[in-house]
Amino acid sequence: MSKSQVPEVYAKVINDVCEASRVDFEEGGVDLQALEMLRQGWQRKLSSTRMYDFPWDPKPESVGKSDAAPVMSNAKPVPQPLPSNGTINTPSSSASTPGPQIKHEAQQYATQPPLQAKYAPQYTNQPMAAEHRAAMLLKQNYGERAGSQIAQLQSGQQRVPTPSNAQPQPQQPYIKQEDIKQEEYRPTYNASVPVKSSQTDGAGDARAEYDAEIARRRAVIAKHREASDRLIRDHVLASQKSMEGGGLLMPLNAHTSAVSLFPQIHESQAGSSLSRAQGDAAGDEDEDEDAINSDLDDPDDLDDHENEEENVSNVMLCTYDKVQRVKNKWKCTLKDGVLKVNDQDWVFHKGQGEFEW
Amino acid sequence: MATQTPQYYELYRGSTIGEHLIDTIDELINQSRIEPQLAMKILNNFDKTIADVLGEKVKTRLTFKGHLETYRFCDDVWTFLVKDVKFKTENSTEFHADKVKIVSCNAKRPGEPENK
Repeated sequence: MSKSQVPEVYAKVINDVCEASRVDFEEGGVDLQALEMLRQGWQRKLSSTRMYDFPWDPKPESVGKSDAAPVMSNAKPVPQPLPSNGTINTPSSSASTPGPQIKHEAQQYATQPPLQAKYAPQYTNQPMAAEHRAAMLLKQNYGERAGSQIAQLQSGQQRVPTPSNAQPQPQQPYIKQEDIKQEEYRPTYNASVPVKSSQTDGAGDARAEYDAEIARRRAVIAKHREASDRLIRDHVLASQKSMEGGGLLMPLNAHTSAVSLFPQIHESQAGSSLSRAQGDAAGDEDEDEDAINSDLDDPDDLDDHENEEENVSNVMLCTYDKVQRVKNKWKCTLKDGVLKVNDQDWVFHKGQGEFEW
Repeated sequence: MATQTPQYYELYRGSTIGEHLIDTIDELINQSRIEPQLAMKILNNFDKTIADVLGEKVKTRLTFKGHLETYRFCDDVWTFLVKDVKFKTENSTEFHADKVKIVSCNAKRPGEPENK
C-alpha cells in the first residue's frame, strides 16, 4: 500500500513544486522553459533509480500500441509512390526496392521507441511520424532522387530523438568551444606581431606565455565549474550540518573541510612554536604535551564506531510526535516520513517504532 | 499563526526526491538557466510541498522494531541509529534492513499553533 503510493506522492510533489515555482520563475523573469527542464530533469533522475514505474514513465503496453499505429500508417502509403515512379521507368524494380526499405525502417522505429521513450515519451512518436510523412512527401514529389535527402532526414532524426531535451544541452558545449576558439585566435595575432617586427626570439616567448595563460584559464574554468556544479548541494549540506548542532555532532572524520584546514594551521603553529622552543623540543614534534593522552580519545577507537553512522544508506526522514523511554525500551511515534531502505522508497503518515537499546 | 508564518523543515531535502531535485537545480545553474536565488525559492517550495503532501495525501502506517545502537537529541532533532530493523506495513508487507538512520524533527514546527 505505502509502496505503491510513492510514485503518486512523488508525482504530486513534482507537480506542486513546479506550480508553486512558476510564480517565482515569472517574477525572476526566467524563461518558463527552464521550469519545464527542471521538471523533466527531475523526473528523469527519479526514473533512472528504477525504484518504481512512475506516472510520467511510459507504460509498456501503451508504448507497444503507439508503435503499432505508425507502422500501419506508414505501411499503407507505401503503394502510393508506385504509380508516380512507375511512369518514369521500370516500375517493378524501382517500386520494389523502396517498398521493403521503408517497411524495414518502420519496423526499426517500432523497436526503437521503448529505449528512447524512457526519457521523453511524449515527444518520440510525433516527430517520428512527421519525419516519415516528410520522407513520403519527398519520395512522392521527387522519386528516387530524394533518396539521399530522406536518408539525411532519417539519420538526423536518429541523432536527435528528443528535440525538447537535447536542444538546450548542446548549446553549452557549443558556446564553450567558441570561447576556447576565441582565446586561441587572439594570441595567434599576438604571435604574428613579433614576427613582423623581426624579433627572432620573441615568437617563442609569446607562444609560451600564451600557452601558460590558456592553461591558467582552463584551470580556473575547471575549478569553478566543479564548484558551481555543487553550488546548491554544498549549500544544502552546510545548512543540514548547522541543523545538527553546527557540525558539533558530526564524527571527527566527517569534518572534511575543517580537517583539511587544520593541518595548515597546525603546521604553521607547530613551525612557529618549534622555532621558538627548538632547544629542548627536538625529539617530540608529534607529541602535544598538553594532551591528556587517554585511550578514550584515541581516534582509532572512534573510527569504526563513527563510520558506521556515516555509511548508512538506509535513511528515514520524518517528524516525531513523541519519543518515550522506559529503561532500555524506546517507543517513538513518528509522522510524515520518507524512508529509503535497500534502494526502495517508502512513505508513511504514521510510524510506530520500538527499539531496545 | 497570523503573525508568524509556519516554517518548514529542510529535512526532506535529504530524501531521494529531494536529492534529485538538488542535482537538477545544480545542472540548471551550471547551464546559467537559473540564478541561485531562484534555486533557493524552489527548494523552499519543495520544503513546503513535501511536508503538505506527506501530511495530507499519505495515509499509511508503518511499524518497525529494532535494536537501538545510538540515540541523540539535539536542537529538537532526534537521531537514531537502529540495527536489524523489521518493518511492517498495515497490509502486512514486511521488509528488513540491517541498519537504518532515523532523523526526526519535532512535529510541532516553530511558529505553529499547539493544537495540531
